[in-house]
Amino acid sequence: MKRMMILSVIGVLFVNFGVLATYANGQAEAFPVKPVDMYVGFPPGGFTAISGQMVAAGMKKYLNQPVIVNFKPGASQMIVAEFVKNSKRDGYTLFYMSLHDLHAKFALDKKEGLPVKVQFGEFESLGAGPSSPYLLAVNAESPWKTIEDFIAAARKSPGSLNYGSGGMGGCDQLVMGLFRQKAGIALNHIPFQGGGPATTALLGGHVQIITFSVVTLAAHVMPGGGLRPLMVFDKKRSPFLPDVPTALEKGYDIVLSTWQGLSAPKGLPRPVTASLINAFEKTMKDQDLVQSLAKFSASVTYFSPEEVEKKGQEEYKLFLDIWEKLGTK
Amino acid sequence: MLAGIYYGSMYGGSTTSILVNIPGEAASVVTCLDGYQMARKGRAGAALGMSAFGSFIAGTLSIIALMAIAPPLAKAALKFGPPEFFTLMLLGFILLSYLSRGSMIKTFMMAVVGVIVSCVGVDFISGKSRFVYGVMALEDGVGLIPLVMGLFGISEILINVETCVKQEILRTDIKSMFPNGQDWKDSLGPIFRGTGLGFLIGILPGPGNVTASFVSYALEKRISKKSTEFGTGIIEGVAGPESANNAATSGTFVSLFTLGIPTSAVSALLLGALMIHGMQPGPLLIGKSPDLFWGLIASMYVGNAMLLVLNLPLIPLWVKILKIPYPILFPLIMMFCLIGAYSVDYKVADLIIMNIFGVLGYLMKKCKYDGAPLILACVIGPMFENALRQSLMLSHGEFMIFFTRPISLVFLIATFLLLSTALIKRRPVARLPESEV
Repeated sequence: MKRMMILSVIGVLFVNFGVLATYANGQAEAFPVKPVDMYVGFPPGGFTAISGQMVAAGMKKYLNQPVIVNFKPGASQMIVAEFVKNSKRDGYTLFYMSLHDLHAKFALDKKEGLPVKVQFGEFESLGAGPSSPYLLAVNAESPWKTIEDFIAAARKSPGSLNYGSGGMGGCDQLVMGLFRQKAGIALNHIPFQGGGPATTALLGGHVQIITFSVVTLAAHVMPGGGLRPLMVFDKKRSPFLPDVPTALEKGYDIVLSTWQGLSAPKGLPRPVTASLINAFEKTMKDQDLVQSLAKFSASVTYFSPEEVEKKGQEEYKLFLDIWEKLGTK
Repeated sequence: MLAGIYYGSMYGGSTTSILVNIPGEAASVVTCLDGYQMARKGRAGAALGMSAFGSFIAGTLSIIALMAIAPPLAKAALKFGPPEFFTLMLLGFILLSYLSRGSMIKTFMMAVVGVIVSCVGVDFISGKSRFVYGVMALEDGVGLIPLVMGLFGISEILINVETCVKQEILRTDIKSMFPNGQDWKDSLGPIFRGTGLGFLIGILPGPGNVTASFVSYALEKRISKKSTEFGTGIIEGVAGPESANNAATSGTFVSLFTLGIPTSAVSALLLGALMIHGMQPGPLLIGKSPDLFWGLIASMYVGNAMLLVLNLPLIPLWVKILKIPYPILFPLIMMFCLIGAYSVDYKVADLIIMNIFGVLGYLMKKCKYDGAPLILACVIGPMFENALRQSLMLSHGEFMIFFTRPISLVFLIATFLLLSTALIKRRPVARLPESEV
């Protein structure tokens, strides 16, 4: 009995030391010691959710711990944003955000003077990667073969051509707004409930032009898909659509893409942030990820955290500017 | 696998509707109306059986239709723009009158409440929030699942807890475990009509299997010689809607496979899954990856058949569930309702909504207000409103757009005919004895 007692005391002491040792070393050295939770603000099935799952699978390799994807959709990512903002700053709760959507939402809320529960800048970026440029598309059976044709037709009868958007306040509305401003045309805005219905409306000829990301429109802008791509809003031509001219080629300085990135609530210990940034960067350079994303016609453009902050600020200011100039038309 | 799971859930929803008057999902709300009454008469087996057979027949026929006539149908569906949807939804609202059991005024009151509830959230046309009051969880609206589960499920539990219904009613000899010859004779028509109707409705983006089941019920009631008996427990009221919602399931896949456009949340998920496996849904899907596509179709057939095989022998077992004492059964149901509502979007807010509507549903049942019109209005309302606004935006404010477009005009004429024949024939809209449901 006495021996049992001594052994058990020693055992308990060992365990305690072990725990204390890990703790004393600072969890940073051992980070992560348990699975990491990654939160996505959209329901499963959408592209953000899908790319999030791919990124999680990639990061698992470099963090040596599973990264679990959780879905908390609602209120244009505001619900998940508030959730992550209020979580513990230990590096185990991350936010995989659709950056362009978030910036559009922040800018719109600011312009409308709505109370913001989550401020722009309350998150620390860990990097960004998966992206897809916006694309202008018309019906394949329409008479406009190039963007110039369309602009000419729009100028001839202002307000008669309809453009479909994915809903008031969406990023695609901003892209179209910028394009209309630079091309000097007036279009009739018909909002739909998301990219799907808007694309259906274009296929049915009820609207004449739409703009969504290459990922969203991929299946339809391929030959035989029913839509004709006119212009892509990127610095260089999309590898998936090499025949489509860029906006820069046509003289419009508009470069807008959908982009997703990972972030954490501000205030993580430095070593934790460093290992997360490192793992994310390695994942972005991983060929498996690039190939999986290519199946969806998405590409990877890695941005470091500093670059994300800079580009994010620029994008936010641009969106705020567009909302203010165009109103919500 | 996803297709199989989807099919399974389509059938599964009716089991609880028939046995305990709690719809397993929004599309099974209509099955509660007659299915539960049949169970109370001791004919739960027949109801469950016909539900299974109807679903199987509808599923098989609609898969065949999917293979054979999907592409031209999908092209036709593309012609449906906002004006067509508006007039179609107008027709849909007319159907509300066929759902009334008892007071017509009460039915319409519930419909109005349904429309108001559907207005909660951010309106995508104007970007403004309605009835949100700064609560983030309401920005996307009141979810249909928590609403239905609360209004029908929780309220049913509350009613039963209050009245401590003696279970003798349900313990009467189960007259037959399976549908008999007469049942088959009565149901064949509804099944085939439900299949056709459900498939067509399923093809259209927007109205889905919920609307299909309501439309089928209304149609059967309208053309049946026994229309006064609807709501008291006749098999046509189960066979038709169950077939319709299964057929609508396949209908939603039409758009996905032929055009690459998902028209419901489930087909959107399927789209993602297909793309992960390298299939590029779109007009080129069948051509580019035929083996994967036909494999998917085959899995649907198999799933459908397995559903029948698995469920028929289990009907006597399901019926025995009625014998579980309420103190055990209802907490279990409550638990499943809570899990189900939370699993939609992982929001605790959904659970709160469910409980609020549970209490509301309880009050409604006490005062003999029916919940079915509320649900139908909640589903059709947003489509009706948004289609109207989009149409007027397209036409720059001209109402003539509804008359100048052919399909839209057809629906308007149908609405007019429906209303005028009802007036001319002075056919009494079936007033049913007010039942407890």
